[in-house]
Amino acid sequence: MTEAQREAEGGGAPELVRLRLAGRREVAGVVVGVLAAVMDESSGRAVATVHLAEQGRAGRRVEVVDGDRLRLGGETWQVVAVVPWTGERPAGVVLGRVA
Amino acid sequence: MNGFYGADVEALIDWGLRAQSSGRRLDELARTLDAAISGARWEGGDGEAFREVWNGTHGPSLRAAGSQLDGASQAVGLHAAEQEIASDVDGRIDATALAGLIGGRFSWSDVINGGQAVWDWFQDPLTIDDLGGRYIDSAEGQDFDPADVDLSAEAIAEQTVRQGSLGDCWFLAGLMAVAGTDPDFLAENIVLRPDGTWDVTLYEDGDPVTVNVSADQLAATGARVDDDGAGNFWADDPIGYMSIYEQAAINHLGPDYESVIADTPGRGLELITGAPAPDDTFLWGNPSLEDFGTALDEGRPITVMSDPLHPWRDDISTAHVYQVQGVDESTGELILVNPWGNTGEGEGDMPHVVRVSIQDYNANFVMAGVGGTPDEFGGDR
Repeated sequence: MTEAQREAEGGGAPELVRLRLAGRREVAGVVVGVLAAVMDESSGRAVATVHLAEQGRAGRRVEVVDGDRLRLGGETWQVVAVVPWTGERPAGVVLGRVA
Repeated sequence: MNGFYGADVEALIDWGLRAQSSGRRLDELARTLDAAISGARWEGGDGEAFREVWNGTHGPSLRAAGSQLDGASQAVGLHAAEQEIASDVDGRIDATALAGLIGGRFSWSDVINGGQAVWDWFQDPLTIDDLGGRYIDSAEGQDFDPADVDLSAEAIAEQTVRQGSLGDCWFLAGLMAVAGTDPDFLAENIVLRPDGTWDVTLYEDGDPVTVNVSADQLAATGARVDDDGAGNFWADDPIGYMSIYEQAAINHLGPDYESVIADTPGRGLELITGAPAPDDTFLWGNPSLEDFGTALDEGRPITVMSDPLHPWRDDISTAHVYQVQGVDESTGELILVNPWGNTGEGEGDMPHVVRVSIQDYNANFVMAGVGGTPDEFGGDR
C-alpha cells in the first residue's frame, strides 16, 4: 500500500520510529534518547531505558519493555520492540504511534 | 521471475480471515456435537464404544483442527504485518486492514510477540527519512546558507555539540576532544568551496582523504550546535562544524548511515586526526588519574566508552562515548562531557558534564581512546 493510498483511505496507519541506542530524536515534540537496551537475564526480556525531554519540563528516564505505552506530546506511542545490545548487531527501540 | 518477491498482503489477510472463521466454526461444531452425543440416550455397549471413540479421538481431532486453523490465521496475520512493514518505505502498518484478524482485533503486542523473533527491526539500514528528512526541507532549514556556518577555530572551541539520531557518539566525542585541544586543526580541515559545498579532510591509516559534503545531504535530526543551554530546544539549533563533519564521516565510510553507528573511541580520533589512537594501549585498561592528567597535559584528545550492559551509575548511558575534558585534582575526579549536549537540569535528565572518581571510571567504563599529540595531527600530511 502506498502512502497516497493510505492517505486516501483516511489514515489508520501507525507510524513507526526506529531509535538507535545512544541516539536521540524528536517524537511528537519530545526528544527521546535511548540510554540502554539490554537483555534482562532474570526475566528473559529485552529492557530499554529511554530519556524523555520536553521543553519547559524536567526530563525523565523510563524503563520500558515491548508492549509498554508512552505518552509523548499528547500522543500515545507503544514500544513495538526493544532490540538489545549484543555487540554484533544494531540495538535500540522501535516505537509505534497508536492511533 | 517477474520481479515480485514477498507476499500479497491483501490475499494473506483474506485467507487469514477465512481460516479464522473456519477454525471457530469447527470449534462450535465440536461443542454442538459434544452436547448432542452426551445428551443422546444410547444405552449399551455400542453407545459406550461410540462415546469412547468420540471423546478420545474424533472430538479432540475436530477441536485440534479448529485450533490449528485459528493459530494459522494469526500466523498469517503476523506475516501480513511484517510484509506490510517490509514493503512500505516508511515501515508503516495498515492497522485497519489487519483489524479482526490478530487476536480478535489489531494489537501491537500480537505483532511484537509473533513478529519480533522473525523480524530484525534494524535489518534495513536507516534512511534519511528515519532521520527526519533533509535539513534544508525542515522549517528551520528553509533559508539555510552554507556561508552562515561559523567554522572559525574560536567557534569550534566554544560550541557545544548536540548529538542527534545517529549512534555516532564515538565520532562526535572525538570531535569534541580534538576541539578541546586543537580547534585550529579542525578549522583548517573544513573548507567552504565557491559552489557552497564543503571539503572536509579525514584520515585513513594516517593518509588524508578529502570528502565533499553538500547542504542537501544534512539530515534534519543530525548533529547540531546546542546553543540554548539547558533549554533543550532542538528546533532552532544551528548547523555547525559537527554537522558537516558527521556527514563527511557518513559519506566517507558509507554506503549508508549504518557505517557511522557504533565504533571504538580510538577509531574516531584516528579518523579525525590521522594520528594513531589505539584503544586502551596507553592506559592498559586500568588507568590512574595521573595517567589521564599527563595525557591531557600533552594535548592528547581522549574519549572513553561506557559499559555496554550495566553502568552502575544511572547518570551514565550504556555503550556511550564521552569526551574526557579534564581532571579535577582537588576532588580526584575525571570530568567527562556527554555528546548529547544539554538535556535539562532535572533529576531525571542526563547531565552534560559527568564527574567520576577513578574507581567509578573503572566500574563504569570499558575502553579509552587516547589520541596523538597535536604535532602528530594530520598524519602523513
